[in-house]
Amino acid sequence: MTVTPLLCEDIVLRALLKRNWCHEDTKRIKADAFIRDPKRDLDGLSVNIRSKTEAASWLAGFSRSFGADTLHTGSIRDIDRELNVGQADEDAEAYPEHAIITGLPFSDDDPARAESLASRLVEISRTFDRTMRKK
Amino acid sequence: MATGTLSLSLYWPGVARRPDSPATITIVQRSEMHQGTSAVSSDAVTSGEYVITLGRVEELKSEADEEDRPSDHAHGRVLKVLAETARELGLDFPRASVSVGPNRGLRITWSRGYGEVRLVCGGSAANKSYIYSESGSQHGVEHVVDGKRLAQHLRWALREA
Repeated sequence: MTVTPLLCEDIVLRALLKRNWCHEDTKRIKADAFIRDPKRDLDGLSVNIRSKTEAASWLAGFSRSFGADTLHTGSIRDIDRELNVGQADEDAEAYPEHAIITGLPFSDDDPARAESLASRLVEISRTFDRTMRKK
Repeated sequence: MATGTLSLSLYWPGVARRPDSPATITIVQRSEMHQGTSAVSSDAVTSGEYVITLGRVEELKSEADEEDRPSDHAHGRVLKVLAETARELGLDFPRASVSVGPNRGLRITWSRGYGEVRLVCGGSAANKSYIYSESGSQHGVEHVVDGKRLAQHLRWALREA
């Protein structure tokens, strides 16, 4: 798979697809939202490019969603040299708004690194939407 | 020589019985005097925060979609570790946030200031279970998961600055 890097100034959106990926009390996003799921996130952690996404309809397209956070591509790269944000070439035409964060390990492979990087991503995330949507 | 058992139960009904409030605090303390020795043990000390945390776990268990429910493996293990931890921490057991992780594992998170502890129980025996804790720039993973160790991590990471 070839991935074309996004520009550092690009903002990406991470959808909250599970209940309690944001804290029940504070509504702040949790590290849970940045742990790669081997079923969903085979190539990388799915995000959408903010400038190419109509957020409300995108979030309404999931069977259930609980909002989204924004992250700055340059800030993601600043966390760790292994982390990158880009667009898979096969996505470029079919899903021009879709991108992935690469370089995150699965928690079964390297729990310490997976959890630590997830914490750093939480630190640079900004709350964008906290509306629950259901199809 | 006096021999006998004295059971003392103290029960506070609490301010309210809303599921998000510390409704019940129960302290059962048993004093036993055998052959001139005296021992006091706390058999069950349950904090309201522990009750809330358990309630959150059970809420996930009733999710409609199977993928959003924790596996029996994760659920059983979490309940066991939380019960052990509650015994260690008593009324100091802090409230946790809970969610379902990859492979229907359970992720239990405690946060305070710059400290955070995560109990991760894999969805099956093939998935890793561990305790992750961080405080400021320090972090680590514990692969032996039990209440005693989780209590140690909570005391370390959530200590007051």
